[in-house]
Amino acid sequence: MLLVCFVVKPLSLQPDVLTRAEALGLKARSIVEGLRIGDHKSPYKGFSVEFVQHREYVAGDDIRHIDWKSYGRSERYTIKQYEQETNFIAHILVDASKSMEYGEGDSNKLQVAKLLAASLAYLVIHQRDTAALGVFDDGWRTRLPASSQPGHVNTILRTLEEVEPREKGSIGPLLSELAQQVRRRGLVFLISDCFDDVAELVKGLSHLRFGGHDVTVFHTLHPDETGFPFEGMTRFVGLEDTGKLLTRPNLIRPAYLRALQAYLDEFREGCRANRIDHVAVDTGKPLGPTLAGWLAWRLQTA
Amino acid sequence: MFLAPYMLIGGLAASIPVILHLFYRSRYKTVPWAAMKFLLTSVEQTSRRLKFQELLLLILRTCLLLLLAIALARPTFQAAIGGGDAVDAVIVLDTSLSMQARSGPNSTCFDTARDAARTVLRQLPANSTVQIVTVSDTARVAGPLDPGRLDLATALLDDLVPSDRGSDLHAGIVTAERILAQAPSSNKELYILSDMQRGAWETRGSEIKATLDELRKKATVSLVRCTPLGRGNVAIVGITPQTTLRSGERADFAVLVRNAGTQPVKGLTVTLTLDGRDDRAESQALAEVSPGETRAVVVGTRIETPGRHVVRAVVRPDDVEGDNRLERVVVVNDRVGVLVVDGAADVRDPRKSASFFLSHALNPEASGLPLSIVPVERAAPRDLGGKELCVLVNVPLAAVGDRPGLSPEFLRALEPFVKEGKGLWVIAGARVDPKL
Repeated sequence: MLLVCFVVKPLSLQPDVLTRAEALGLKARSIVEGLRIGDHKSPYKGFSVEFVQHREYVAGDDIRHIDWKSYGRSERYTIKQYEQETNFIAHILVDASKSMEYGEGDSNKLQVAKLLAASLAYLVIHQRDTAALGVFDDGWRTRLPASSQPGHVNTILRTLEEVEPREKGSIGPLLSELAQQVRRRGLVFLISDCFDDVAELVKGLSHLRFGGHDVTVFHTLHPDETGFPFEGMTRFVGLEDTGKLLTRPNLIRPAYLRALQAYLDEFREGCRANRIDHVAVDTGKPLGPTLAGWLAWRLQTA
Repeated sequence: MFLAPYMLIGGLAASIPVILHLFYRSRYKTVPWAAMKFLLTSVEQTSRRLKFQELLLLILRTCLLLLLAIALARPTFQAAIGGGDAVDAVIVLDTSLSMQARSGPNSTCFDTARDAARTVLRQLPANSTVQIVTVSDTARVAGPLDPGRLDLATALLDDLVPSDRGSDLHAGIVTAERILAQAPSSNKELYILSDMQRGAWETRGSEIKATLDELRKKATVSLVRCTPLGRGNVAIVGITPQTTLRSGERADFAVLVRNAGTQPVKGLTVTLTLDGRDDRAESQALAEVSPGETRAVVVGTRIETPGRHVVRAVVRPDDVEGDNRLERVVVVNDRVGVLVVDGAADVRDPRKSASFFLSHALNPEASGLPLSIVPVERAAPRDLGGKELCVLVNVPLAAVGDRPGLSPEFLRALEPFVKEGKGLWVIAGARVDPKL
């Protein structure tokens, strides 16, 4: 039983959205099925298993769930019922603020975030767990309730495909709010560039950790943001109304890289202190290897 | 103070870096950027340093161009010290033939003019410029390349020599006028160093006067005359052989000496040399040559070999060396070839031949005289080739009976032989018919 009441936005079933959603689904599926070759064992199986009641066995039920002890006592086939049909809830949180708009084509940060969210949703639901989606900028823009139904993947895909970058992002308070709302322990995947106040951000993430959630941050950055390869006189216009700047990038490149590295170090240290997984996602590289590397690491450390 | 102040116009180029700076500031690309936070942080940290660097670079580039323009304008501090009396001077130096005239025991007019030029150079104020123009029948700017290098100008004077040409002072003055027109200084001076020969002034006197009058309005003009020691000037005007020139013989030449000066010249010696061999030179004294007079002196020399020879006649002493020498190429023939036609040749006993004693007299002990003896019946026109003298000894002009005579062809060939100036000697004998 879900303790959180999600506000579900009506799905718009426009043909182009559906087409794009299918394309997104295909991409996500190809990535995830590539990861599932050899059939790995989910590290999350067995989480949050809470017995509720017995019911009588009917044809079609999985005989694995027959309670043989009860059969020994009553000679009736009964099935053990659990509070949830799945083992855990995965909360996939996608940052859709204006800063995620950066990048052209496949390296666009929001597009990569969508593909990553779709892949995670596909991965989670495919192993019969529950996935919930939350899209945010300065507030919750869209939230889909948790579900393990296969059709839920399509809902997530369509929702993701409709997402457009908007407004300035503010992640920390939203994460704190989510930590208060979601009482049941689960997985939280935050997909964002995390261009926010580090202290606020880490505070929100730590709230989730205090709630017993397993938190993973997919830190999505464009190669331009990590390498700053610009030349010549350039006018930078902030995507989140953060001002304009006319400068020679080659002159300030060292200082920029130092500032970025200081931010990354601080953020990673915050994650490490709170036992939050930090996964760097380079939007200039294929997503598959990044996801595979992260899953392999999870398998080793689970 | 600048020696080339017009080059300061190049200082306008100093504005190029500023213009480029503004131009490139107005040309930029716009990039929408997410990580503005780090960008602003980095700019905060570096903006002051970057602005300082940019300003410094801009100033350096501007100063570099300014300094270049100033350097090209050739600034000088000495001008300020010297009171700014630098002069742009032009020295016109006459290098015509007449400048070779002696102006002293061991010097010529040209030496005097050169010394005067050196004096002018020494006395020019600091930072002055100078150009030396040499003038004979044409004018030429001799240098120096850098007008400010008076030391180079002095060294240049040492290399100049007078020519053997005439004098056209007007050409030199016009060249000097052109140079002075381009000179930036307000102090301009023109020095004309010449012997002021009448011919040079008479030819284009009015033009020279007009040009100098015009120049005097803009510059100080100084005429420096280098006076020759005397006014007599002899020249060799001809070499004429007095005899037919033959190898192995002595030949006399008449050397014509003319006095083109206005005073008599005394105590002259005319020397004749053949093919530059001074060891065989022969001389004749010439007591005096009056002004305008031409005197002939006969000087002989021995010519050993046939062919072309260079005969040189030199007269000394004279004030003007250039016209004291004359050379002439002469053609010298070989020795006299003699053809003896014998009208009574005796093959069995040559002593009975008519030409026996004659041939021995002409060519005793076979001295090498090119002598040919042919019997009359074999005498042909080709035998006359290369001969200077034909001797007919007891030769009948026509055949009489069985006695042979000269062939008609030979007789016909004798006519042009004689007309060429060659000799025909007829010795009568018993076989000669006096009627013919």
